[in-house]
Amino acid sequence: MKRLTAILLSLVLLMALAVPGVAETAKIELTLSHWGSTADAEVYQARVDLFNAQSDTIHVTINYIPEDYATKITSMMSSGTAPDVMVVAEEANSFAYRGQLLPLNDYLSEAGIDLVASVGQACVDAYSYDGSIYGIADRAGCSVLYYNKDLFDAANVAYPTIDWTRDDFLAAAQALTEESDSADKVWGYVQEDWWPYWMSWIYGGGGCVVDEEGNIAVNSPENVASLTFMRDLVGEYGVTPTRSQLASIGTGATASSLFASGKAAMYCTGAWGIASFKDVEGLNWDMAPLWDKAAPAFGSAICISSSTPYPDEAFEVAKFMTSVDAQSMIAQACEDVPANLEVLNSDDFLKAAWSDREINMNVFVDSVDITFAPPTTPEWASWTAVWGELLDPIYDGEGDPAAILEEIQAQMQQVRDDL
Amino acid sequence: MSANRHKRLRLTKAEKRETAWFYLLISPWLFGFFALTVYPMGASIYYSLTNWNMFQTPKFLGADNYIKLFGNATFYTALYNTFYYALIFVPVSMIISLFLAWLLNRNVRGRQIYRTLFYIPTLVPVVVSALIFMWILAPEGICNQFLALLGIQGPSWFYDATWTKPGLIIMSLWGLGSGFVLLLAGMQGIPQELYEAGYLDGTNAWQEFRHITMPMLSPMILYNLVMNIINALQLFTQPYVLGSQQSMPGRAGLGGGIDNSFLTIVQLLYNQAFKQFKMGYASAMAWVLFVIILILTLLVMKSSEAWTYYEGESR
Amino acid sequence: MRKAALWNRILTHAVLIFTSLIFMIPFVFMISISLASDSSVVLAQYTLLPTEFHFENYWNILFDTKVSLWLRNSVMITLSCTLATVASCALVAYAFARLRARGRNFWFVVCLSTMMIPSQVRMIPQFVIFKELGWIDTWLPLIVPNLFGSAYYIFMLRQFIARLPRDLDEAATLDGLGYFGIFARIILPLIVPALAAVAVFAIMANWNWFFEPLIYLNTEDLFPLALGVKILTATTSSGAPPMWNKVFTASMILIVPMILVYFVGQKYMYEITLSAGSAGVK
Repeated sequence: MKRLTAILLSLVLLMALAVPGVAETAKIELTLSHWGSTADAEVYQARVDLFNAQSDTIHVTINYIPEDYATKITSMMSSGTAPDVMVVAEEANSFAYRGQLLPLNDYLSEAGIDLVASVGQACVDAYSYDGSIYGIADRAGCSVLYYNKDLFDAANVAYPTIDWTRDDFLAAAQALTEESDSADKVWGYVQEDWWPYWMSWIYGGGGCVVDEEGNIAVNSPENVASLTFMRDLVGEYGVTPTRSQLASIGTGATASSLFASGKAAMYCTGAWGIASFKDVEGLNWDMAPLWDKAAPAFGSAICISSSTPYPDEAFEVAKFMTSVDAQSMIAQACEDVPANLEVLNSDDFLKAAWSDREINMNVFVDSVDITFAPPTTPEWASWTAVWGELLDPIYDGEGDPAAILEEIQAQMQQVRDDL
Repeated sequence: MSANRHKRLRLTKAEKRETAWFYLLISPWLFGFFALTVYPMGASIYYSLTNWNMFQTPKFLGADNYIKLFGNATFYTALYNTFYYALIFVPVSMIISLFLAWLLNRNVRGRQIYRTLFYIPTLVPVVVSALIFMWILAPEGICNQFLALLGIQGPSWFYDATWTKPGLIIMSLWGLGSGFVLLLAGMQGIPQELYEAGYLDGTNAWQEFRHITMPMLSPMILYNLVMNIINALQLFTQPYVLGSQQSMPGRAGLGGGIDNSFLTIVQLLYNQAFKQFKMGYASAMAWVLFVIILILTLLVMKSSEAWTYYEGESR
Repeated sequence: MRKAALWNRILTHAVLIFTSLIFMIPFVFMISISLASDSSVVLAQYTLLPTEFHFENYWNILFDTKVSLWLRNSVMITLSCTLATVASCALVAYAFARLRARGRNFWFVVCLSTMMIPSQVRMIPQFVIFKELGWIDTWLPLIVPNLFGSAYYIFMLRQFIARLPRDLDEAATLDGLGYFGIFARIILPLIVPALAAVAVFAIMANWNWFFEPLIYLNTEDLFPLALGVKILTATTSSGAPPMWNKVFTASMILIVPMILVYFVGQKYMYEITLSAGSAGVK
């Protein structure tokens, strides 16, 4: 009997331990969540440390969620336990639509911040929904083309420029691809099955996902042509490996690791690619704006949960994170493209102090005019899931683009009707 | 004891007290049963008739979710994959377990050691076994290296749509130890006299197995079969771990591998419920899965009347 | 005749040894990768038999703050879930085995049939209940349901208790013990081996638990190690492969305690498996 009581007591005790306790401290405790690589995590930590050091009233703790970020945040929101301050990317509008984010217009005007002046109109629009601003842009930039200079030189191909067309790209990719049956050869171009890859083809071909009136416009002739081209890169032209070819190079081989190992001449990703490639020995690389004059915009904003008990304090954190001081840390660590225009145009970012040779950091400035905004409506997560699923054959160089686009059109409409 | 108790309308005071204590003592289970089984099942039926994303109020749809489900190609893919897996894995694992148990039941020296070696893989968390098999069955992995020694060009397993499911089955077979141990224990429980009688009659090993071991073991085989089917149809962790290794973190796909070739029903359900937050649609899927499991279980139980044997039963 | 028997025996052992070797390959490979150097990981070159012996991988991982935190979480979750299960199941099983009441058989059949219900039909509303209680991202949705017993363990314990002689209870009743007294003083000490078996089963199940922690926990610091191992395989920076040597070192840390639990608990497990299993679905 006594033993049983003891067991039950210790059980209750254990459960009490399981509930994260609210520590009684003088400072107000806030949580900030983000995703990303360990390199990203270090920079966020450094920025938050700086904030904590200079604030007498607020203490911020980081909740780093490396996997399934949007899912985990949505789940926390549904249970009213969302972090006070969140780094949010393309899901900002979905969250705003569900009433989970705090509108910041009043806070911004009270603080006298002119957001358009500091980050530009595009970065304001990306995090605005229904006339309200829900996030302060933190990281920006767009997809750029990383290319291996040595491979270009060896194949006697001129380096890419902003004027490249789709045909220039194909000609280069064909010249760069090694003639061999082995999967372990040099490929002209490698891609991943992530939305920026297919979307840059769609927008580059003059098509769109959602037209100016907001209607889904996927099954257009332009898009059929673009998708056919994307398919043929893998199938007919054979300049890009299929996913099983990629896998047979080695387990865990990714498009990015192929580029890093000098087995791919061209690869597209955001500015975080710099951090991955700068320390790779023997890799002589540089960056150029995407061909076709269409670069998908990347970025994230600092948003505030609508359920935070401390909205004023949370805004202080958001304001600090997007200040010139904190943004400079992104640039100095060459983590990503800072959204703040002043920092973007500063030598901190453009001079690339971390590199021992010339790197074309201006690519991010040059790309501004060719950047397009992805349709980050509240349907975003479901829409990209539809594309991700139905494009499968295209990545293997197979499938009928017209039929696939018809099906995507129908399923996207279905998602919209179900919203 | 209860046979000679008569049905009476009135209970004695002691009986009433006993009844009260009975319900008091089972109250934890009873509470859990109503709060975490009965109510959720009812609620789940209701959700399955609505469109609900956990944020807004549910919108009543009627049978729409079910209609949509049966018109969805991905659902059929998941259904096909799950059945493919279950229909091969369950019999194969049963046959291998029976065979190994039968071998060990023949007074083999070192039985304890073998038993332990076959059982230990079941102690490995599914996440870990999925990860290690991803390496073993890698296109250039040790399995294919071994096959190459035999002059066979191995497939790329998890990167080849026709080989992903066989890969999953091989992975799961590694953990057949729990069923095997049960069958071995059952065989050891068969009275030795039965075999001795057979020995005098001059039966061979197969006849012995067929006419003594199998019938005596049939209730346990049935139990194993039913539980294996139920578990196989709920396969989730292995494909989930594999799928997330194959796609990049930012990708919003279903994580079912190339052409969704190892997407299972529960994986699709998890995606719909906890990634897309389509709670109504996911609930409908759960009920379809429930009905499938129920029908299969009943079919197996029904068919078992022909092949199971219980002690004390006259034939 | 004797020669045939000898061949028979050799064949049996050959088959058993071959099968055992196959069953051991994944372990050997896991150990081999866990002992690999970081540079072999980058090149993704591993051999079945270890060729490098970086035992410091094991030493280092114990000082990895995340892994040690996850390990601690696993211990806490497993212990509290197991204690809760054993306590509640014992109580309920005793009632089902010993107390006579109207409706007892009915409820017992209901209890058994819950084993057949796939958890998916309960999962979403359960999630909603725990969300309403504000329990998401805590261990409560994992631990609390264990307080309500689990059909399979209740069944196993009931079978065990039902076989104990009733004279003991009756003697205790004469001594003036109530039902709970009989349970605590008479039954409980006698079913320790069965409780141990249930505890071993529950420890193994909870230690390897994946699905519910996956849906209920969002904060990395609350993860059990099984989920942590999965996190270790998330690429740490774009392009860089996960540190597979670390992944499998952590995996070994996850496996070894269960092998120990198995060796300590196996004798209880076999006994109760047999008694519950032979009754099967009857």
